[in-house]
Amino acid sequence: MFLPSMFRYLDPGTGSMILQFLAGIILTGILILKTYFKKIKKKIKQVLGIL
Amino acid sequence: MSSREPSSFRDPDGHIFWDNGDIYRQVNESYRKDYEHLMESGLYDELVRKDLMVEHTEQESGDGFKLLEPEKIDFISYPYEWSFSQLKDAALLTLRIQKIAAKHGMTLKDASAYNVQFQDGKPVFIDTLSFEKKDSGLWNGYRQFCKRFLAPLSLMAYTDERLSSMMQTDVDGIPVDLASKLLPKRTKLRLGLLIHIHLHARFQDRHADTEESEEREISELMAESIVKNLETTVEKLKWSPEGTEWSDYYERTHNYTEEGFEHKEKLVEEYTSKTSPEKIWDFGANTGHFSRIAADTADTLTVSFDIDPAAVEQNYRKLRDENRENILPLTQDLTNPSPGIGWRNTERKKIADRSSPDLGIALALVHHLAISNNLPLQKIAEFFGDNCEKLIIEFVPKEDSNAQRLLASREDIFDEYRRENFEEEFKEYFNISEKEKIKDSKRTLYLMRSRQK
Repeated sequence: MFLPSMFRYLDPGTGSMILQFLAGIILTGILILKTYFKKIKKKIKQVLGIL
Repeated sequence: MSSREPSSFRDPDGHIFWDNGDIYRQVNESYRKDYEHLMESGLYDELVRKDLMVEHTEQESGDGFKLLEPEKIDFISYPYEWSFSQLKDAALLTLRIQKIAAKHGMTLKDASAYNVQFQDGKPVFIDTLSFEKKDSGLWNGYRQFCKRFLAPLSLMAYTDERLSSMMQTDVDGIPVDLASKLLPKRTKLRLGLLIHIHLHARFQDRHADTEESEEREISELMAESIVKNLETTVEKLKWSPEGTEWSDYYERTHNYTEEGFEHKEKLVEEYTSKTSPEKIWDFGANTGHFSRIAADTADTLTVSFDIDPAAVEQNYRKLRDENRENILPLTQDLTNPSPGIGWRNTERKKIADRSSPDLGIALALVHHLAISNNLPLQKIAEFFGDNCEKLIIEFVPKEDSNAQRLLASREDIFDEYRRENFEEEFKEYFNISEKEKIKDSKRTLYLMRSRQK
């Protein structure tokens, strides 16, 4: 649920929840890019015979 | 005699109460499913096994769904009394618990710094009712984590460590928009602080009046990446006091010869063993050198107070390195001690309402109170008389070089500040059991016992 449920005792804040959603997208994107970058780097090293 | 803990009223799933000095947590019917999941999923066992959360035993239930008796915390302290590294360790503990909870299909429903206490030298989570089953993946405690942990830590690291006192002004933590304003612009170059503080502030402002919104969920990977990023952001925050050489911090501030210092150590040990204390408070403990002697001698917890955040920080770092369990370093200004804050000023208690020591230690302190703060000796004696059954106290006369330093920049208006007057005033409240001049110094160490208690 995006809005705080009436059963929750803590108001998570609408702005905070929207930001958290976007942060999730951005940070996961970065994580995926980093993983790919690492893989590419490894591949290049393999091709160049460094490893 | 049963009484409800004044700070325990926000959570409808249960509350804390005291009964004849023992602490209990009532769990309401509304928390049944979450409690069963916590206990049956293996989450509780994992957290207790790893010393991350207090253990509890289930008691015969009175009202409500369950009655728990949690492990009792030796001394309740608050985030505005912790040093930078204490708050940082409490933040990292909270994030670690959130990560472990996710593995078991649960999440923290809040992220209050007051849910963490220091026990046996380490931070420990105390709120058993903070866990709920995961739903959307969004973390309900996210905003609270930013206000209670990230905002004060980043302000201490980048602006000024004294800003931790802002947590005392606002019982709900430091608003992220205020933190965003106070932090230097360069913190926008830090991804974590850019997102969780600066953008967070913008989003809160922009959506302050938003009333409806679509349902949205985030994946486990997204939720994990947020917590991971918060962890990296907190880990990267550093604070080391300017101009302070950690290794010689204590040495720079005292003026004893080696022999004098050893004599003082021996006397503190001897006086402590004569009093067999169970609760020791060291007022003005500096980096906790003598707190350690007292704690080890009596084999009990010593709360080690000092006004200087740098000294408290070093005290904490040292005990962490030593894996020491019997010292609790806290920042405290004796001339303006922690007040009661929150609802009716009782939600977070003033220091005198939380506990009291049976042995007080006040070494190289009286001259600061009397000369730097203009406190008459009568008031100082009254304070210790009201708070301590037994007292190890040092008198530093005006002729001492450290007292001279305090007088260097001001007129000497302290005619009454003499050893005879000091003894006379303290005799109103105490009997002097022992008294010895410290070798190679002008100082005297006393062991006193309360006349009333």
